Amino acid sequence: MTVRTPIESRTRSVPVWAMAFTVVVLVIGGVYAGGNLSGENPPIIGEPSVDTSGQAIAIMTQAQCYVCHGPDLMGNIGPSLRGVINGPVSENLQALGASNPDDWAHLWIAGTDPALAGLDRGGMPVFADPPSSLTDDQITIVVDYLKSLQ
Amino acid sequence: MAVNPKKLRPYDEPPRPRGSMIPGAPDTAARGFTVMAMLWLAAATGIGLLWVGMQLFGDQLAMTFEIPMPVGDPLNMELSAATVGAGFTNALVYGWIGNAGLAAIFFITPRILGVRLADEPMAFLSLFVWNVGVAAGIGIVYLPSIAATGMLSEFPLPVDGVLLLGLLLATYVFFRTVLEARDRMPYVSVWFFGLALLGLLGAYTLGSGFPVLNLGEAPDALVAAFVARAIEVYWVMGVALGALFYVIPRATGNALYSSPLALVAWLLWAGFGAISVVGALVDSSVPYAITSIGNAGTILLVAPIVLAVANLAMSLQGRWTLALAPGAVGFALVSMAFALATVVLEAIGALRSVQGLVSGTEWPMAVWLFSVGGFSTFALYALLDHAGPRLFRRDWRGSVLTDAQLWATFSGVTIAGLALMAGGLAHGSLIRDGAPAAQISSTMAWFWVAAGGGLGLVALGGLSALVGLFLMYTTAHRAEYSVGSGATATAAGH
Repeated sequence: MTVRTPIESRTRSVPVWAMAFTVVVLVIGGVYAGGNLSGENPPIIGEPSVDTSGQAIAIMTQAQCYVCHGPDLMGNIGPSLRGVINGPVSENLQALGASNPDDWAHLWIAGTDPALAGLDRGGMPVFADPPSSLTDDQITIVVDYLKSLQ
Repeated sequence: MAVNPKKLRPYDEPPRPRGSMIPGAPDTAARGFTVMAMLWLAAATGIGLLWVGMQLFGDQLAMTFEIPMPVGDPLNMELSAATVGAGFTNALVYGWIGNAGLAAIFFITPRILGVRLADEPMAFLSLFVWNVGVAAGIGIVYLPSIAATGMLSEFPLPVDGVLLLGLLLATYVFFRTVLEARDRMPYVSVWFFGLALLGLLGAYTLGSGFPVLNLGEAPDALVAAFVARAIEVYWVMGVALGALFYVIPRATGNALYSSPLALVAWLLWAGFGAISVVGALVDSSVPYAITSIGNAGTILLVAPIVLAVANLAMSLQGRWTLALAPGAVGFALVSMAFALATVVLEAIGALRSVQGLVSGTEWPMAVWLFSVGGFSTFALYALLDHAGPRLFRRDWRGSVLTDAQLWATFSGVTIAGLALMAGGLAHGSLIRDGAPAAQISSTMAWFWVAAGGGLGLVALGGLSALVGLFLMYTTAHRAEYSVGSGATATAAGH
């Protein structure tokens, strides 16, 4: 036979501290929700986007890009690198931009592709060759970073 | 007239009473679920160790076997970090927490309501069906061509059907018992168990039924994430809280500090839990505001857990010395500490800035380990420590194995959880800095070694529990806990 042995309660009310604590947590939750209403979630499928800007800056510092293009990449001896995503600004790169709209910047920085034959580099080093010897992946990281700049 | 039995002819013998194929004595189901829970705990921790090994030496340990089939192409069995990880999480949640949770429900509910479990044979049948389903499912997660995808949703549809049947039977027995008791305001543990069962049933039905609609990979992944979170919030936390609210007053002999406060905690848990589950819907197709409101629900979940833990801690007043001795109260206190750590870490992880850093790393697994391996496991350890002697009718006050169980599991979960948490932060930082894969894996190896050591200790704790149960059954004197009067029942600690 199962016998009922009830569990008693010492108090018959909800303590004030419990109500106060709940209100405080509600306020914190409400403030959080209110401050995070706009934005975009990352996709659930596929690789999450990775922020490689730190790595891009490190590569560009090592390759001394900032010497010619300015500390803020707004231009110095070389042209501004802001707005790369909109295509090349320099006159001599227009044809390259038209024939390779997606990877013209990559080709131009690497500097070894036959498509660049006859183009005046205007002092721009061939970064795929020594002394910089940037790899394809490193150039991709730099180009992605430049495309993110406005 | 006296009859000489030796002179009876065979046809004079009275017919033997025929016993049912399915046992129906009181506590049969709870006893069965307890034994199965312990076996699954040992299996889960073993698989967990293999999973850590896979993370460290994946190339050397990964294997693929071809299983010839009488009809059609042979099946590929794959031992990889992904499949072994799935085996670990499923064995822990469905095998260990599933069985121990149902043992807690079938042990506590009749004692609180003062009625026998309605339809004990049905409860025993649910034990059989549930464990057949779990065993089949865990075998199938190593067969990628048959297994489904998504954490805790890897079982294929036929296995889902078996598990749902077992769960339906258990839920039916529970609610029939509650209805038969005609108690309008049953003790709070019953409320927690009711919602835990409904939550698991609902989440599991959604998880197994939704992929049938074939709406695409992203919707399926979203639903799987939703289901995994719902199972954690409602089932894993629900059975733990229900068990703690029973064990602490029973093991201390104290009254609960406040029943109304416990019901408020239940209400807030039910409501905020539902909002929190929405926070698992992280995808570009889901409005950002909806996910943020879900994240706010995860932050709000701190309130009911803190209220429940405070209520239970205040119920210990005057009996704190019990915490010093290994046993139910010690386990319960560790569970309460992990409960607080879990909800606070989940709230921190729900912040968008933290999510951006740790998403896709080891951090979520670490917090999950605190919840499942810490909060829920210790609550169920507490319940089984209290219920074991009563279920198996043995005079047993624990042994050095109870100490080993407490300290090995506590230190193991803490070490593994902290290692994975630190590893998650390091991993996130390395990804952010664009570190190459080789650098990430060499750095993470140190964290995985520590996590492996922690899981090894958890396995040792589980083994101590299993051996303790065996020794209790085989060496302790028989004791009668099933009593016929209220006074003796109270004395026996029912």
